[in-house]
Amino acid sequence: MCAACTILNKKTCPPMCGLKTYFPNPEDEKTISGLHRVFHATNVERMIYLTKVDERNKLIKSLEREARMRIENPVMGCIDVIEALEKRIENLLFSLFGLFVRNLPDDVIHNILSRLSAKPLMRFKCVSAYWNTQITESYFKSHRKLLLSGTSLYALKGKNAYSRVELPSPFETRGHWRKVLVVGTLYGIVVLALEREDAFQLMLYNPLTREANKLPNPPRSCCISAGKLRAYGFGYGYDATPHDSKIVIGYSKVFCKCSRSKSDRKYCHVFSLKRGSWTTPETDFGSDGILRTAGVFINGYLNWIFGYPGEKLSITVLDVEEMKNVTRMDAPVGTDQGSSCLGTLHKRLCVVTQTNSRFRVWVLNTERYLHKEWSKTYSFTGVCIGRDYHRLRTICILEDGRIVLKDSKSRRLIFYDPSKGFSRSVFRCTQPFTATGIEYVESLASPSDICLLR
Amino acid sequence: MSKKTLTLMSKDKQLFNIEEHLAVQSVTIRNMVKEDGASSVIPLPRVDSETLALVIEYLNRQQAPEEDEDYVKKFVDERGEIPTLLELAQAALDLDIKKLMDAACMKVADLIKDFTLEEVREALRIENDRTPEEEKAIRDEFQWAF
Repeated sequence: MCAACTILNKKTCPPMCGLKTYFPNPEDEKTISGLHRVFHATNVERMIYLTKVDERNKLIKSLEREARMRIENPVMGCIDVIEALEKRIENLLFSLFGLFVRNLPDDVIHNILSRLSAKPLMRFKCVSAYWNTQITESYFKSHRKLLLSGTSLYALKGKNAYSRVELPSPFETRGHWRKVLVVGTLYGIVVLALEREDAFQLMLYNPLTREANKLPNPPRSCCISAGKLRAYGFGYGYDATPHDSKIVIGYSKVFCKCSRSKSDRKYCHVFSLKRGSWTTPETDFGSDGILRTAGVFINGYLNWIFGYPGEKLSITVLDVEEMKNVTRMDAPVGTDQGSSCLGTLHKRLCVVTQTNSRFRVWVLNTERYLHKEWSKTYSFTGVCIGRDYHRLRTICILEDGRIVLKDSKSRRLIFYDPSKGFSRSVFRCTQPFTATGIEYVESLASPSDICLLR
Repeated sequence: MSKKTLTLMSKDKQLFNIEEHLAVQSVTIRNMVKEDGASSVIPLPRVDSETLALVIEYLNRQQAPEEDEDYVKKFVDERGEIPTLLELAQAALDLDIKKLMDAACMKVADLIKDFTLEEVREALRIENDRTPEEEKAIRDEFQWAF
């Protein structure tokens, strides 16, 4: 006698009992009683009868589960569970969609980022770690350009084949200024010093947008107004703590020929971009040499090659934040006022010296200026037709370690890559150029973004 | 020239017809047509039907070349909602339609440039994984941008 027939109070199983196969033992009584309560045993039997033989086991299983749930939850039955699951799927799909949108293709992100100007771009570095690296790495690397200055300005772009753009003059009248010196760069803005016979003008300039802002002149001082640009050392650097950038003009006492008393003489002027005004600190650059052109800024210090040509030279170091102490350290052997170039290599101060055709690249060993030790990283021989090696001059050291030389006769630029050797550029200057060069990052920052002039 | 029609299928299996000479503005489709004549349906598994309808509308535009720039600009301007624009940009990326992609990204950049950080994250559904310290460090470094 099967469990179903027991529940139905039958005396014996009928010969064709449809339920006997599925509930053969009396122990199955609990299962069938549940089914019976919800569906009634005869209905179950009919359902079995209407189902294909090989699907009947499945039917019984599902009916059992449905019945159990209906008994547990008489109002909703299994609908409660189904609805909860449906809701969960919907949520999962939604978050999956969110994931899809969050993982916007890189191309789309780059495309969007490349259209933002510097201000929102720098702000959006905070959006996420991914955006931060995207903005810093890919954007900044691909927008690196070399700015050359001499009698006019050139922007060069490209890894190997440089293409050249002669920038329109940011100056009022063409030819009015004799020479342009690139002092430094920050966020795509370059600081230019324009030289004339008897004066100079400082300017903030964005080579991409061609926007320029004149900076006020330093307070009138005997030496600044009377001398030539060559006598001055310019520098551009920034503080670590109060987030201010400063333009430094320093010069040595030897050029001061004025009648003022010694205590009144000032040898340094500092322009704060944050405050938009000049100050005159008591910085003393000494009297035994000249600072050469633009200082190199690294780790909070500005560095110049200092001294007279032909004499033993030193590196003058100025702490930009303190603006007080000028320290000296020995320059590497062979440093020469005219031919040596100061720069940075792998975030360390570096000097390229030249003796005839031999170029040597020195790197300062400690980042702090306690034990100043220069070590030679490598040397190379310059190439030039006719062995006129004095025609070759180092212009600057690029971020990726390449060294830019100029050949003053052929007016070409030569790039030296320590891993690949020389490559001659297509760049040919139309005028003789006494070039200085600097690498800058293109941005849409406006000069007024970094300097608020009152 | 006979006008051949191509059929594009969106993510949700909807079919869209477009004339071949218009569809080949998409570099992806052009390459497919070149390879096998693209006689069958072209599936676009990442593009939903609403976005695809927009793309089709864009491809079907009949503008004189000199008015085209303005049209593209107006086209994205009218759909100035960021989720739509992002979908459009992604579809344009998949289909390799540079003009549409650039216009959509330009519009997004234009919309988000004055957003707060929180608004940017919300609009582009980006999770904030920066700690307050990291954020402060960037704020300090780029003070002029904030």
